[in-house]
Amino acid sequence: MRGMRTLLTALVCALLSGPWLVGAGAQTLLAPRPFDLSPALDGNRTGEVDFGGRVTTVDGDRGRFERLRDLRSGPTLDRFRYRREKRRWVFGADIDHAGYRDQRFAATAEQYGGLRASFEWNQVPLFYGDTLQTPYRAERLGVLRLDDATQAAVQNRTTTVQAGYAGALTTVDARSRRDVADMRVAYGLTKDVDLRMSLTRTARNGVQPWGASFGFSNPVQVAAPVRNRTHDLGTSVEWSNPRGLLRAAYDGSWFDNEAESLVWDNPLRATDQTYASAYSGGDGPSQGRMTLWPASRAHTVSGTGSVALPWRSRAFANVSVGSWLQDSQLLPFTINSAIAPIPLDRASAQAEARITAMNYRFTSRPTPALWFSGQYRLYDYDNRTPHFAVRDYVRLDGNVATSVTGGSEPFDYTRHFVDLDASFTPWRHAALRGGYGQERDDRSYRLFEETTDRTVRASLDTAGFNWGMARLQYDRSERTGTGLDEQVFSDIGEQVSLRQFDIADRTRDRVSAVVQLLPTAVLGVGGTLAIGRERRPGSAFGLQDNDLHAATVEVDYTPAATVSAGLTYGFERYGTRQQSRQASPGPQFLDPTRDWWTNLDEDVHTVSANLDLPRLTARLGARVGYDYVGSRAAYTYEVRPDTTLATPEQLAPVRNVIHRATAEARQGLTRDVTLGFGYWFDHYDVQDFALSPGTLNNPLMPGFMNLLGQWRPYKAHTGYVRLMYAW
Amino acid sequence: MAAAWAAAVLTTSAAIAGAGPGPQRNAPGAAAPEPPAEYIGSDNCLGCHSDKGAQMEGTLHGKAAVPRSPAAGRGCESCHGPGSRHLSDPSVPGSIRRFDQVAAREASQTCLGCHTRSSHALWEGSTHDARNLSCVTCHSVHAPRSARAQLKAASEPELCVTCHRTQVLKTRRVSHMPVQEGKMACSSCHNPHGSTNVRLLRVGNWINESCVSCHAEKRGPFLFEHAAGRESCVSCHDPHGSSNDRMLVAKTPMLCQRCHIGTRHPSTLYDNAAVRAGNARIIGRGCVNCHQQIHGSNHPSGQSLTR
Repeated sequence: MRGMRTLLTALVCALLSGPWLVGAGAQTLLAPRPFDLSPALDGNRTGEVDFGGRVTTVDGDRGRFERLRDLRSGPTLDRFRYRREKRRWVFGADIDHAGYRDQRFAATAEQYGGLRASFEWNQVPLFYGDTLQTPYRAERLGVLRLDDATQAAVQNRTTTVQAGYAGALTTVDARSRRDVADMRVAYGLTKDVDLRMSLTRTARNGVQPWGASFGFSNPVQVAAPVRNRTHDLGTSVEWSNPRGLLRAAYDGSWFDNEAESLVWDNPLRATDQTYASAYSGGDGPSQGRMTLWPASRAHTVSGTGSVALPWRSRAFANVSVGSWLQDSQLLPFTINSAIAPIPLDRASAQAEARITAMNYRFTSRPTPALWFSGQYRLYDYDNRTPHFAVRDYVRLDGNVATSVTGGSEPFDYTRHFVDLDASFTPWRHAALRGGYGQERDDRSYRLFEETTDRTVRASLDTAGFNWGMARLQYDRSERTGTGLDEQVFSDIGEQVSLRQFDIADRTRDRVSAVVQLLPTAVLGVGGTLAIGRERRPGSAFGLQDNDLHAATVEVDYTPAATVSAGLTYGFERYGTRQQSRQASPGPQFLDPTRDWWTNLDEDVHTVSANLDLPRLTARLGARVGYDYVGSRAAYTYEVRPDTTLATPEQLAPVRNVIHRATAEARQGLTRDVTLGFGYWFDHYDVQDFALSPGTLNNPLMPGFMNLLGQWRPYKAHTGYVRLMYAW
Repeated sequence: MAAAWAAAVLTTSAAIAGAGPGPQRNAPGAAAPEPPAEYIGSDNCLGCHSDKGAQMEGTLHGKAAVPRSPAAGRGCESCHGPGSRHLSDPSVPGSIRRFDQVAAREASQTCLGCHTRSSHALWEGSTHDARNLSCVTCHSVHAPRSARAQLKAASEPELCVTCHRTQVLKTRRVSHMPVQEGKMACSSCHNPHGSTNVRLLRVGNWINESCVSCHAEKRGPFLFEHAAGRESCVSCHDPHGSSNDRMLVAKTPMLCQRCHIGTRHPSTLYDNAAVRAGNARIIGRGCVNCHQQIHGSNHPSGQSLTR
């Protein structure tokens, strides 16, 4: 009875306390997770443990099913919570998914008003698949070898890649894991002064698919090693009270990679030679070498202040100065011994970027109905890496080529943002807002030296109604560029009337609306709408149009505390149009009959439905749910009526369909013990012209030695039984 | 005209100010001003609102040992204001500050009286503040449903989805951040209370600083850089999820051909015939089969981002 009263009280409070209906329909938007057995608990418990067993069978692409999680069969300790509280301190400990690749452990201790410390160990798996194959073997970290005799046989044409390496194929357990150890300490020096420190160590280990090409006819994919560490340190001291705030902080980040280079054998050759063109067969070097991620450092110091001013105003300022550093030793231009060494301009990268950011903000509410905000932000990415001069370089370890750019282009940019907003609240539950924003960017080494993006916006926002809420916004922005330098494109052989879409002249109109209605105490209805339209009228080539249409509707029905149901449907449509011209250097480059267009039309449908019966009987609860995500993306080619290109053979649409159905129940056995059991069905279907097994059908495809990293369908059945004991 | 408009606005807003909570304004000719309300102590409040007291005990707000908590101050009246008039006659509108009956910024102002520091320091002027949200739009002091942060929903995505449905829907696509899996939440990247970054991003001062706070290997700087990527990761990636490999906004080579169309292979139309022929410029990972170092290369021969 007490539990029922608490539930009803919570329900009434939720309805009365605001317009946000976050009900069962919203819950179904999340990934299904084990049914929460906690309702058996009350507020006086100090801990709970949830253990049992799980059986999972997967037919198909296990790597995609378990992409970021570990759902193997076996005993489970899915959840442990412990909380011990005294008048002046509290201690808590959490365990999730113990013993599995996605396990997590955490502990927190807090002395009220004094020290707060926390530690977390969190593992995030990334599973590419257990059916990937490769003929390479790791000789040592970062060195991948093929059988020398086979290399020689292929070189001597006594065998082929397909015949020679077929027997050497082994399965790769293609996965990596991110292990995050995070420690945080905060200490309240006085009531107004806090000291904070955090130290996070992120280790990534495993392998990942990696492109390692020798040429257009010999691209190779390997399982590159992942073994790196990042240490992040954050410290700050902050003084604050309602009148003002001062904060000084230092943040540092150290990235180190145990595998800073990758060496891999050429399947076509055992001895080095050079070839004339990258378009040749990729049979120049006996091995290739590339850099992997270099070690780097980042340091940032920042100061922040804010002060309360008359007329309910506040001024805020933040300045930060940072430095990103990377000075790894540079590899030679090539590992190919048949190519005479080319002197390096310098021995190490000497890469550095100085980052200066400023943020100034003033807000004021001279009367309760009027609100103003003005903001200026500066972000300056000052790349101080010296130009690395390159006259000749080695293309794909195969041949010497002359650089068209003469070396590196240490790209940098500066962004200035100005934002002005004013809001008028004619009645207390609604606000009308108008605003203007301008972003001016200066940059180097790109088509436009400067772009300015001006945005006007207006919104109507309601809040605080018991019947629901409505929000509506419209904004229009226009971006224009100046300092056009078509020579940048001409130098590298691009069409000079190409406009890079992220800096091209562009108009954008966007409308968004959110409505939530509570017509009765048991029914919630909501919907969202988003329409976006981008046009790039000055882009003769490149991305021209980019449109979005999205709408969702949702219904939540809770006729009683014992029943709730939710249904959500979402529709998204994305459309883009881009133009190109298929050309070789020479007359074709200027021939408009060789123009072609790509139209992308992607539709996505999302459905979530659930029925929750938390009190089927006094101790029995159940929930069933269904989720569907279906997307269809069509890339359609167009050519001119007078085209001189061959008629394109259209690509098959890319389809991704995800179904998930769940049925779960819990049965209270005693006051302290709850039994949970459930079944999940997952089905994924995919048709992808680039990644489906019909395309990537062999790791030794002619001209493409790959890992067989397909996107494949799967069907998975998961059943579990769990016991939750609370004390 | 502008002056008249301004006067009208100020008059209206002053009238609204009078309608709000707090000291009541007296109409001309009214009787003597009512004495200001006085603090009466939480025990008086709990005489009628005992359920609220029980709910508060489980939260930091209800712990007197926390020096900054309401319980360490004036209890219920720390937030609801002095209660003597409400005690005298609860039916009088405005006799006590009720957060479902005040304007959004008025509600937030109360919370900001204490929540001035750390991640809350930039609330005023933030996107959510500008859109007339208040603290109690998302948080519930008395009836929270989340294990932490006293949210009105059981988890962050369930709360944020109310307005940001398109973004949350994307986290369910086949390529997504580990939000579904519980390894990330909306607040892993965003600070809904305001930030120095765009899009309420929690870390740094520009989009890329937020991304490389986890993907530190892509931070560089590199000897050779992909300028578009250095400007913004989201030109190519959709951080909430997509139907494409690596959360790309479109498939390669079409995505790359939005900017690279010069001559020879970048300008070529790769149709189904190319797929059937096993052309590595469209199958598998497309352009990245060769241009693997798309985020930047530290190799002296890496200007085409292949080494």
